[in-house]
Amino acid sequence: MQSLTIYHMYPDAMNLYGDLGNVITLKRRMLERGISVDIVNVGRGSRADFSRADIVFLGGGQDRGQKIIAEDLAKKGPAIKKEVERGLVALTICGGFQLFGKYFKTKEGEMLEGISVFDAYTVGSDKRCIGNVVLDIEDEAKKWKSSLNTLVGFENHSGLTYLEGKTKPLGKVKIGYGNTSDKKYEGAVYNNCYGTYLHGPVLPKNPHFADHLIQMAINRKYGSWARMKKIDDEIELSAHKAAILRAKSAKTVHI
Amino acid sequence: MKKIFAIFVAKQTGFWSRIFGRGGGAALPGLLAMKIYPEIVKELTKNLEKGVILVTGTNGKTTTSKMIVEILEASGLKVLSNSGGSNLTRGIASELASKSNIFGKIKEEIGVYEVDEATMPEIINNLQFTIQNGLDSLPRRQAGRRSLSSEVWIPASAGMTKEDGNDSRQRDSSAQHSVESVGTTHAPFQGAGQAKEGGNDNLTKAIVITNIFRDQLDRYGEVDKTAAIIEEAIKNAPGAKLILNADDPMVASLGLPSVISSETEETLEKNKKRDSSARRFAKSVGMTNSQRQKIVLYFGIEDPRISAGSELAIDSKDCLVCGNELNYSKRYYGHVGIYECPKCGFTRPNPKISAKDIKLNAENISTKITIKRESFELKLPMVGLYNIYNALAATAVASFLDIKSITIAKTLSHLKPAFGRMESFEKDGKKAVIHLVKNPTGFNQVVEAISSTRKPKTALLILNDNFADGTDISWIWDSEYEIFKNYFSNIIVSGIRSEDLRLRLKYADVSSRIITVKKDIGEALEAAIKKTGPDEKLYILPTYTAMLELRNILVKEKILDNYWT
Repeated sequence: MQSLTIYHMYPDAMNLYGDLGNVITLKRRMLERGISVDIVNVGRGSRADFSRADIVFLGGGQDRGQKIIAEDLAKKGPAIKKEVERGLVALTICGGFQLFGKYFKTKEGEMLEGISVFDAYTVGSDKRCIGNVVLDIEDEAKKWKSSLNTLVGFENHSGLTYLEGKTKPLGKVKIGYGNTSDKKYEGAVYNNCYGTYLHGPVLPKNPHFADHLIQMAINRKYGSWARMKKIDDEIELSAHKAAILRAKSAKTVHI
Repeated sequence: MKKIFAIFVAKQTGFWSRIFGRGGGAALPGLLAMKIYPEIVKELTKNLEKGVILVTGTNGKTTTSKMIVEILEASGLKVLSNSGGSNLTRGIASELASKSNIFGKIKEEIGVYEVDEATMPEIINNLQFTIQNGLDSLPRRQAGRRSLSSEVWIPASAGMTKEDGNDSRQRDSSAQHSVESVGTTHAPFQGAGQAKEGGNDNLTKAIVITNIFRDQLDRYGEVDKTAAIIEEAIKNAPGAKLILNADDPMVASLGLPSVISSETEETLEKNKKRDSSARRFAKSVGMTNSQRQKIVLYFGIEDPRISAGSELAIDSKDCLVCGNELNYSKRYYGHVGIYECPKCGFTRPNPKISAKDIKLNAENISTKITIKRESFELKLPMVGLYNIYNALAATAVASFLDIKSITIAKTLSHLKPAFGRMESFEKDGKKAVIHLVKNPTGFNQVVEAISSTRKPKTALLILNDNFADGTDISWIWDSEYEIFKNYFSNIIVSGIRSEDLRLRLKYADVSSRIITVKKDIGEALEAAIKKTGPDEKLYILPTYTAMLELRNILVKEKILDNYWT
């Protein structure tokens, strides 16, 4: 029987907008395929061995939570970076995404050091990008072998994230503001490591994204490239479609 | 003249909007009146000779306000309150205009204003600068403070909440408007440094803060920001008694000297010389416990048998003073409990008003409430631990106003539920109850209370994402839908985001066989009533605008009363 280990980073300090739903989703979709799951909560001060992780998840948090974990994350940074170079699958959301970049310079000028997995940096701004988001992920979807090439979610951030070098965006913004609030690109991809501002949470309504993460982790751990079996996604896909319709009809707010 | 015209317009608008059944006339009259005469709230509030009590917080504002109003009325006071209507400035303006005569005279003596968290700075500014000639009336703590209003942060989003939610965007302009009007009048306060002792009191007699939880985050940004907004507001109401939940560290920290005293740093220096290890924390911020108690009245639960059923929805476990993780010796629910910061010594204050011997029954709660040395038994016709906190907050206000315990106990035990909060009705011979849900903590509390009876039951869950609901629905993933696995024979999901609810239930391992999707609320209600067995009860859990829509249907069918008539 195949089994995967998920490292859920700082689940108490970094779980603000239902991001726990991502872990619930990964777990359920693995179990449904007969893959056993081990979820390890990685807290501040813990000694985590990232060579044992198959998927790392880091959610969003409040500014305070982010500051609290930044110092601890910096200690774990080199180990995470090393594993990402070796194909470790990781998903980071919002505040977690920002800390996987080089730095986050807040509006007040305070510098939060990131762990530089992404060639990206974040700058605080006065406006807050809030609302439903629809992304076009055509290029990624090809890699994922997915016929569905949209992602849906909800963004709520004031930090603006600029990508450089080998880090590529996750998708093009169809509805919403995106990384730099200019409605162009959203999220980041480097190797098997993903960053995004999408809450919602992102994985339940985007089952193709969840499956891609699981598939990559299986490939890496077992060296097999066999596709995982399909599971019934009727409810997931109807929620995905409904979210797109809602995003089209609901006005987004820019404070 | 403007005042008379404003009141006239408000009264007319209120009358006609009630006739045409548009939004119950809770907000529009006040909005128009404020456009004509921006000072309407302060001018009319002046006529309430005993001042006003402000009630704010994430959960329990409406119920707590209602409890306070009924206790005050039972004690013989004439009370003016916006409870059940709009909790923005305009809602209060509407209520004032409708209760006053055309010249602005009001027969009520005291106000109980339910205030949206983000509206607190605006309301307090409205009430503060009412005292035009009033340097005398500024209490001691005002001495040496910065001038009012200029530093109050009112978010651009302030004032978007809890109304029919069709288009909330227009509200910005009026919030902005009153901020500007505040800005022009802070001159009289420049000399506040010479404030004398004694004199008249402020209009704001007391500020009640029930709790601060994650709620409609897309509106406020973050939980911490909500606390910061309230903190700024409190600083501008130095004469008010703070009635705070001791068990919620976010709220309790608002009673810290750093918030309630501007002279903290000075006193800190002085106190450095003194040494008393017992009061490590009080010392570190420069105020003794007895000094604190003059300004702050804490309420809380002291019952060792109560403990949290859910590990989810803990949105804040860190000390707001130093950022270290708090140690909990007891958690009642969410981040509410008995806590202590191991690093800086910030600790849960001892409550003056407390509840013990709590029994959470399926239809009611019994408890023993202690006010200082006196105590009384209370049987509250409501469910859920959160209602104990509401009752404690109301008791604290009553005790602050020297109302007898017997009056408090009598009133609270005969309480009828507030708008959409545990409202019961019967349709086609089936029993149903509405529980408004709007955030994970409230949701978890409600479902925990519901599932305390093991009898089979039917649920109607309605999720909308209009502005007044909060447009971000991700909170359902922090809520315990897992509880629906047991004891529910049927679940109907409805509302704008019904697909999201169905998905959440799937990942909570609730069998799809018992789930029905009806996006339309009217159809969902019919289906739910049909599916409810003869001995079952139907539990309806709507978000705010869904609750309004549902009530409208029930009002049309003459099952419920229109709240505003």
